[in-house]
Amino acid sequence: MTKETKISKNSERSFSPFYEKIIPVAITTIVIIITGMLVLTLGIALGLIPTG
Amino acid sequence: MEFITTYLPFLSAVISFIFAYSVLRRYTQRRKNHLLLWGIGMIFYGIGGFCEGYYGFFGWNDTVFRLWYLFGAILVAAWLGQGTVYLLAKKPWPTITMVLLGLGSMYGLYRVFTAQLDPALLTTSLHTGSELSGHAIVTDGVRSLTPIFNIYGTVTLVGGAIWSAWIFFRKRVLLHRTIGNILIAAGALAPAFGGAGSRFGIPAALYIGELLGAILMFIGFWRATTPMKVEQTTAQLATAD
Repeated sequence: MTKETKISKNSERSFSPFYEKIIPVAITTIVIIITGMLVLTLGIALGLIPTG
Repeated sequence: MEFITTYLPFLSAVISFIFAYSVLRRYTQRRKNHLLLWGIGMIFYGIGGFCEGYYGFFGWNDTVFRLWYLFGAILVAAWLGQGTVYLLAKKPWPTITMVLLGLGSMYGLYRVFTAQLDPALLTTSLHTGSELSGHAIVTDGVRSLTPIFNIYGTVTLVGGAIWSAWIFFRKRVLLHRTIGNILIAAGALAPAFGGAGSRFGIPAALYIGELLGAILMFIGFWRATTPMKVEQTTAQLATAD
């Protein structure tokens, strides 16, 4: 099977419409949350964010 | 409120131990290092929950607090994350990081069990004292270990799960693993949310977050290791073709 055929076969696949919508939203949300938490934690640890 | 600070952490512990048993039983069949580390990580999770429940029922106990801080606050996320490193990282990184984690865990054990404690400090700042917190540790340099382990654990566990989910989604394969990994990532974040709530003075937020985390990760693991009926039917049709 050539590379083009493989890519074509992959792009033809899809999950159900529900999962096609919900999965990217869930992944993006978790990435934003974990990035935010890490920035906050590092900010507090480095003393850049005051904690009172 | 008493229910939340007593039975809830015990419930988390029971779920964690059942989860650990399930993962370790799978390890005995497949002999994969990541399963062993996840199993150990969930035992640590269970020990943390048990110690919290003990504090809720019987009050302060020096040894129980130290066990809770070591296993529940310092080691759990890092050991679970190390399992993900074994699953996803290429050699020799799993071995190198495992050696570092092993040495770090031994150092943590020494520091936690030689630290000076003051239970009266559990009610300082915004913390209500209704749940265990590292505030009770007087000795300098012990609490500063926690973020190092937890950042490593969170990045590897949540990052690894979400990375796997994205790869499966991009290729549109193994829907059950995509969903399972998203649930594992969400479950791993839940205790961190609870911990943040606890720091901001919301009583028992940590225990609720931990229970939610154990449930979500357990469902996620089950989902990731159990193909969905739709996929099985598709696979059968493909084989028939």
